[in-house]
Amino acid sequence: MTVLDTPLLALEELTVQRGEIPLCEGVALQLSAGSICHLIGANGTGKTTLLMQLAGLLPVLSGEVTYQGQSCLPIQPLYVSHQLGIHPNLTVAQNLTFLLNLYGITPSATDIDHALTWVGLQGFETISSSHLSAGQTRRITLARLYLLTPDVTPLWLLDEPFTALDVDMVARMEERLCEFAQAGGSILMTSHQAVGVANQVLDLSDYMV
Amino acid sequence: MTDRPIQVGSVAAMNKSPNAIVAAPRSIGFMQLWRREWQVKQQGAVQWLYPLVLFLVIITLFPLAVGSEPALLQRLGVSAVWIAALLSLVMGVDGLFKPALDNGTLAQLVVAKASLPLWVLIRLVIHWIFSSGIVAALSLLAVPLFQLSWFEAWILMASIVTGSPMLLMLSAIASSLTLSLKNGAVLVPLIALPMQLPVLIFATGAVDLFASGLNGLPILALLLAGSIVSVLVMPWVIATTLKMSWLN
Repeated sequence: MTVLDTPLLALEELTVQRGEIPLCEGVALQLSAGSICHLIGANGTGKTTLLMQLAGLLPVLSGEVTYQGQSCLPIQPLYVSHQLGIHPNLTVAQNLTFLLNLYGITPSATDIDHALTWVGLQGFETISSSHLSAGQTRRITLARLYLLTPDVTPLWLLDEPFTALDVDMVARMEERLCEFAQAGGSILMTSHQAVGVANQVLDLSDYMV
Repeated sequence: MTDRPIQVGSVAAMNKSPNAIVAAPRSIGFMQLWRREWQVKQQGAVQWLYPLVLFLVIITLFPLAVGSEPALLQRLGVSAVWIAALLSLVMGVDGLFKPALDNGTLAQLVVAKASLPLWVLIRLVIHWIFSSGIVAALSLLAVPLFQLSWFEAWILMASIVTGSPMLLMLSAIASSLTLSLKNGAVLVPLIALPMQLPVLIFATGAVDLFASGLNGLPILALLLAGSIVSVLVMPWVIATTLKMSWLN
């Protein structure tokens, strides 16, 4: 099986910069449907900054970013970052429901149950998120990956998604990433661990200023 | 950049054209946003109770400090209640947007292309209900504490209801401007209070006019108009400043 040719996401001569400070210049990438691209580089090379630019949180001041040939983002990417989007006052189910509502999905109780079971949080629906460990809290934000499909959000931007996860959970995550890519989605992710399922690698060290 | 084909089990590749994958953005609805924000507020009682306790402490201690002379209490009562209301509002402003930035909720809203002005409006309306809305009701305590007449107390409550939305919007814009600054909460009163003082002056003036038997309705109407305009306009301004939070 091969990656489809038409790029979902194309970067040309992109400058990765944080405020006034350019980190990388001339970054080029073509991400097609079915791609799982592992974004690597030493600390400080701009991996998180690049994902934030693509997510729309930071501006792209130099270079071109196109999504299926269009310069403005016509899709809703999924963005998983170090700040998880989890509110400590809410229960696990309330947090997961909100994260799915953002993408127009109204999950049933069964959907929530299946998603939480997939991440090993079955029975935690009514537990306050403030009572969970860091790893368990991260699992809440990852649980939505179980229910999101390429027709809802075709591009996943994942910043260190495997942090604080055990080996079993990492394996489940990689399997889900493959399923998503196989269904036509694209993934751009950073991880300090090896990503066995990646079929592309972008090394930002090659573009450092 | 290196390429290698996906080697995954027996799952067949779906021969989907990428164009078939373009998803028209679906967004979170008004009721879903409202429910979420209500849950956050309801389950974070300590955060909104504290400013209310501050309000009660100020209006309770004030009569004890100035003495029990009725004429003096009646003269100072309206101003004391309004100042307490303003201070309790300013106290609660730090929790308006900072937690959302810190825990990643704001980022998720922006990335998912949710309507940020709508989220801001809902958040502020609910915040008003749990802050100035309750303060307005508690202002009726001015009757026993400051020896005000019931008529004056109802006018005082009306002035808080009509003027506090504008105060909240001014505090919210100051909070959003200082969101990404370290210790930005210290700057919020410095930025917002000069703009809030005219509201305070007009509101207390309106109550005084009614207490003197004159017509203070035009001033209340002016306050109401200002609040309506600020509620209609400020969420868009605040949303724009919130989107710049990651630039620092």
